[in-house]
Amino acid sequence: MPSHDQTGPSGPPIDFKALFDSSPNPYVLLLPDFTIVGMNEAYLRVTMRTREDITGRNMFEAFPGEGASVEQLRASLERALRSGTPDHLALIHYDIPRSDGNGFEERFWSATHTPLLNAAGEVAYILQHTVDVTELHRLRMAARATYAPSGLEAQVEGDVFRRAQAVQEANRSLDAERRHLRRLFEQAPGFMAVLGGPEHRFELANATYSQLIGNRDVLGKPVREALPDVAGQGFFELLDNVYASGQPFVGRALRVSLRQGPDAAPEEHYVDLVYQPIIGADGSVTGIFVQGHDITERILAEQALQESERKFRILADAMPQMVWAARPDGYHDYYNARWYEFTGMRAGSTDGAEWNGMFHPDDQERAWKLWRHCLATGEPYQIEYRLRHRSGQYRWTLGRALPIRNEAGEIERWFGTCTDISEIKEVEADLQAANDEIQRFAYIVSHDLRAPLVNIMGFTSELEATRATIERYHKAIVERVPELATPEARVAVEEDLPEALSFIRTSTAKMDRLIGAILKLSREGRRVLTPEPVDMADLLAGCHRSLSQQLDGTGTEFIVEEAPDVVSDRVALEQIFGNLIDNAAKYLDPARPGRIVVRGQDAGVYVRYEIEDNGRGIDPKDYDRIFDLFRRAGAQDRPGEGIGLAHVRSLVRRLGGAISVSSRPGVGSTFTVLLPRTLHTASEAA
Amino acid sequence: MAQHQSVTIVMVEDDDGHARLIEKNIRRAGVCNEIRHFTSGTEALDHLFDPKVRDNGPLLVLLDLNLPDMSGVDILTKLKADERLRLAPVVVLTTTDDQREIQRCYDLGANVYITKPVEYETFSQAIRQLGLFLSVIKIPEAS
Repeated sequence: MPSHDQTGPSGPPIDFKALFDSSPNPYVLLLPDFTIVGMNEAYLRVTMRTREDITGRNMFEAFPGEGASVEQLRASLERALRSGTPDHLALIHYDIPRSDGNGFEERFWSATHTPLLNAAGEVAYILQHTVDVTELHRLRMAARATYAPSGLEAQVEGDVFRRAQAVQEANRSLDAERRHLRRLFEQAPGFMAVLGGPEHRFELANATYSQLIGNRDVLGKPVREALPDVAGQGFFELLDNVYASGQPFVGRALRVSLRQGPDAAPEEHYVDLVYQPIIGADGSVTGIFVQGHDITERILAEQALQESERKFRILADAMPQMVWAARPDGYHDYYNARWYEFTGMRAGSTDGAEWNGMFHPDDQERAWKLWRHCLATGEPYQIEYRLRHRSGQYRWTLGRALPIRNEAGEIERWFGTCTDISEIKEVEADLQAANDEIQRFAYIVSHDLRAPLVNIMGFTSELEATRATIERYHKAIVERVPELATPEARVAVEEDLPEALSFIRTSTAKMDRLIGAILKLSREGRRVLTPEPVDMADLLAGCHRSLSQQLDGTGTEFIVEEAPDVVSDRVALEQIFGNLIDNAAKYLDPARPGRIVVRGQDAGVYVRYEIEDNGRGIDPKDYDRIFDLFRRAGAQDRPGEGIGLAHVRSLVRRLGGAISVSSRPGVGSTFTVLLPRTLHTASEAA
Repeated sequence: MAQHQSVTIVMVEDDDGHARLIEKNIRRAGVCNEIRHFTSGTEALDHLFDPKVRDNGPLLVLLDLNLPDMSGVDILTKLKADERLRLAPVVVLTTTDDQREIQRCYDLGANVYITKPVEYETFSQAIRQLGLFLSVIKIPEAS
């Protein structure tokens, strides 16, 4: 060791080496690599070694200890080295070789390791001050008897107490920390257990762990005994393996069947867990720390979700229609197999807004605008457009979508379908052509039928004029030349001719009205519909006004309840409601005061209107007949040609709706008109 | 009546009965002008565009729209496209009361549109009023 001869503040120079050697306290000085570089006489005495024997040797080579003791000593030295502050070892069991070479002698020590720093503040040496407390320890252990401290022993005792105090202080805080950790351990949301020994005996188990295993008392029991129901599921074997190999095991979503009580049926749980080997002081496995989470609920929810998604996909793929889904922002993130089959596109390649590019260029903007509008308003999406088939052809498609809302009413997703309606469209076009032809036919026929009628009526009038001439002539004959007059001539001129002419007139007048009706229907069928927002309350009030004279005259009540608005053709609506209300007023029962009620209600993309009366009613067998042209039902005591309802039905159909009637004879009738809330003329225009 | 005599009435009507009824009522209204009757569009156009007719004397055309060989609208269009014949007043006489067709005829330059009602009294009255109309209008002389 280096010599440090110095001069004291007064008096003769102090010989530190002599002082060091004469100190009754054993000291040894180590380099940071634990090489012994110096010691005093007391140290040599207590360790029963010579200076030559241990100087320059490594501490652990010079004093080969066993197991935990070596680790304890090394840990203390390293702590001092690392922290740069003294470290205390209150009691260390460190046997030393016997001086006679026959094995080891059991010794207990108390030590302080003090780091000595160089000018740079680095640890240059570690000074170990060690006291052999073997006797003390034995005495305490033996009887805890009192003894009389004196001299050297008293001093040793004093040092030990200081160290013990320091250690005790450390222990107190350690204990607080241990209790805190214990609480954390107990309250941890995950399950935790400590298993000790090769039988995996439960040393600790927290509340969550107990809960998992049905609050069984397992402490102190080996796992195979504590949890017999887990046998055969591979967990014990895993524990054995971890214990044997010292390698941790990490398991995810492991299925375990557990009984919650002795008589309870086994329950399936899913757990994430870690088996962490606990390494003892000697480096061998002394136990296993078990830690994990019960993830049963999550797994079951995932499975349920997967199952419902699997079902949805099977269903969606089995559908003849194309099905898609989009996020609330309109991003399409799902299409079924049928979509990819139809379009020939690669799966996923039409996600987002790519669908729009699959539409016919003339339909893209219209569809995009409507889609954005629906996204903004949450209104159902419905449109017809041409979609590119994998053949490259565009096919007419009906697109529909509805928003799915959460409990808060916010849109969560949109689900949509595309239906190939190209065949329907072709049939529709054929039908339209046929319908147009009928319209033209009706128009031409009614014109051409009128021309002969003009002649019949015209010449009938001429005949009447002629008859008047003949009658005057006949009267002159009767007066002047009575012998020429015959009863036959009189009857012919005064009775037969007027009668025949009258029948011709009545019949042609009727025929003219019928032709007029056909012409009217044919013209209506050709009229272009113009959708516009219609205030229905206003429109119904208008219908009421035009009938007010008739209604007031008979003391009839007219009531409009709810009247939801529509976007449709105003003229057509006026005619529909005008006719229905007019009919209701016309066929009231004179036996009771009339009452006509109009009410509407929302019905999805439709609105349903009812026109209810308390009139004479309609026989159920006539429900269809009343909608036919020129057909009427019931007592024929009111003027009419049987056109009104045929006209109404034709208009309702053109507006994309439907009409029906229910009635009880003698009680009243209700006409129900179903109309699209918004009239789309796109399909009509085709 | 010298002024009236100078106007020739050209009647284009395929229905002989209608033609007869029209003529009767015109005469009843006291109109004695010459009436030339044609039952097809082709005949009527041939006559009207004959230079002897086209360039001589004032004309008035009574035109039915439903003709076997062409629409009266075609005849009306041709007349109104001709610098001389467009001066001749055209009275459209037909069975339809279709507002769009009536409007179309007026747009093409028809002067009067008369519906032939089945009600004969109304019809004859309309024709007699036409006679009255004929007696007061001054037909521009083609120069």
